[in-house]
Amino acid sequence: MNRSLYSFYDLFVTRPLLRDLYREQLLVSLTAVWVVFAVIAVVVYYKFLDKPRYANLGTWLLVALTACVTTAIWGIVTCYQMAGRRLPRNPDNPQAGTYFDQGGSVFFGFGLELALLCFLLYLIGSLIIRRTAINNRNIPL
Amino acid sequence: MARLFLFAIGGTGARVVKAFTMLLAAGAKLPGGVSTVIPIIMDPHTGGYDLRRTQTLLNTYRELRNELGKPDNTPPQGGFFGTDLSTLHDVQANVPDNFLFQLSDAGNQTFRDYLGFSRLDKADQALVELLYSKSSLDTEMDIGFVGNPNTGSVVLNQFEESGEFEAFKATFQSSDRVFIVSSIFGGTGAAGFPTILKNIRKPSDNQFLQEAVVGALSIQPYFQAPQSNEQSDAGGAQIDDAAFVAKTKAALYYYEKSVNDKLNALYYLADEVQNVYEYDPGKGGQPNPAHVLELIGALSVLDFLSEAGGMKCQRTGGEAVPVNPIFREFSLRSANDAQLTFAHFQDDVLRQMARALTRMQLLNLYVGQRIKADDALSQGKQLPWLEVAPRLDENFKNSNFYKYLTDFLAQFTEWLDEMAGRKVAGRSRDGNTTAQFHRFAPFNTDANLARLVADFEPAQEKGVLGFGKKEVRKTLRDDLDHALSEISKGKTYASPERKFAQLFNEATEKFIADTFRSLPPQG
Repeated sequence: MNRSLYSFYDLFVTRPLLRDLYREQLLVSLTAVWVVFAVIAVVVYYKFLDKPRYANLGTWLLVALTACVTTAIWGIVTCYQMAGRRLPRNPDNPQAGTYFDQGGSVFFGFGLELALLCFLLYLIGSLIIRRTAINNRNIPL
Repeated sequence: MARLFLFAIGGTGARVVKAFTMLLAAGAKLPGGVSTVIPIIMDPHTGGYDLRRTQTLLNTYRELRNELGKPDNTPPQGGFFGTDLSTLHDVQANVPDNFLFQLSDAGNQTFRDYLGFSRLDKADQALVELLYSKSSLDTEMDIGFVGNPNTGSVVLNQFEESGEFEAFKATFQSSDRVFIVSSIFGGTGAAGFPTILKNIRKPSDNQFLQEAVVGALSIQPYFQAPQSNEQSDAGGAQIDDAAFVAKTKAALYYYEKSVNDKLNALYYLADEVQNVYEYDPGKGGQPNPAHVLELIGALSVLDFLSEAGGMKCQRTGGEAVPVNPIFREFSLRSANDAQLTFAHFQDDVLRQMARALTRMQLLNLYVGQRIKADDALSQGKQLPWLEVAPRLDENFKNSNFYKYLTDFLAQFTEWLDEMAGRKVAGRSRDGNTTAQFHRFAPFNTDANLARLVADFEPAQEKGVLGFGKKEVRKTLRDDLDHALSEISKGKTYASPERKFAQLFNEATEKFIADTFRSLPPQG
């Protein structure tokens, strides 16, 4: 599973960070985060907010934004926490440095990538599930 | 299918037909398998305001049904505008296509001219002058018989030889019913009712007609006219309500001897709390505001139809005599309150009208607030019920159906406002401009639709985070639009008009069932 996810993320994530994530077995949990948030967002919008007053693109985007921002924050915080633990790459060789020492801009970019994945899944989920809704069935298309 | 021939005589008759039309439009069910109503209004006062309003309403109803029948000529058989309202012309083409029975020679001449007074010899002229007062003889008949049944009975006798009666006689079948609505305290109604009944029970070539099941509503005084010294128009009042009670008593004596034994059912209505309406015999004449008694009168038609299946006449000699006729009055749970709501009516009456009128009011509110004010028809993406085939958009507002519907709903609103006393509604006898009569205000104007039906408290639901209780809140957008979208899901409709009517019929019914559970179901 971890290996498959590595191949997938290798398409767009900075390789050093990806390797660190792979070694720390974080790919599965971070993937679960954006998948779960996207699914929750779809269910919330098409089931709990299935009312005429919410049947508009603005509300749909707001729900998407909430899920994406939460996902991004989750990813960034995870990376920072891992960096804060200062895990040595090689305990016998301090010169080899620590895991997750790529810096804030890399973490931020990774967070945005997770948010984008979350949004794509939310969009796909919306297109699949919208027909089951009563009032929101014409949103987003 | 059985038909109901509904004779409405005089101004009161026309006003009861108006209330009856409102009930039919709202989807009130006609009992006894009756699917078609043929109103025949008899009133020489063709310029009368109420008569014109009723005619307009009937014509609008018919146009709406025509629009709903498109494209395959199958109008709805239930729900809004679900009952066929036809003219006599629709069943017998040789009479005018009009809900009004055209009295010949009654326009623009006096009763004296109608009798051909100047051509009578001296002895006959003396007899006529003995029977009729000068004011009766000089009354212009196109304003009605202004409280003179003795003149009305002469003029209305032409009904027997009219094309309309011949058409009615020719088309009448054994399953058909007849109901006659009239007032007993005026001129036209008091004279016309016995005249029509006499002609129905007369031996004719249509045996079914003579043995027809006939019901009638006789309305006793429920409003007052100004006393003759109060009316300021030139020539003084031609109607004086001081004579209303005397005329009513005289007519009741006459009915007891000559009318009651010819009827299968007779309904009496009256109201002791009476308002004074200005008497206006002119062309715009007599704009009495709607009164709850007229609505109750319309309900008597439904009551009659529910009983008519068990009614019959038996032959005695050459006459048809009704078997076990019924005579009924009407009472409220409490008549002490000046303002009536649904809560003042018995459950069996509520079953006939409460849900239907509430449905109509919901439709009325939706058209007024959501379609007109919020421009909901342009929000197809937000309102999936609009997108269901055939699609509804702003062009729907240009359709004939929408135009007729808004016209009808405007009259419905006016009717409700008048019954509720929200419009100028005459004055009390002491000159107070505040109307003194039984107002009927079944609906609140609260923004919370759960409070729409007056005196029916909304249900409670759990409060925030499940603590405590709070009042249920419902709105047109959140709840009625939701119901419309829910019901329309996965369906297609034959035409935009039918889609609109069917959807609102089902959605409003669902809304009422969910919100006003204590309102008795429609019977």
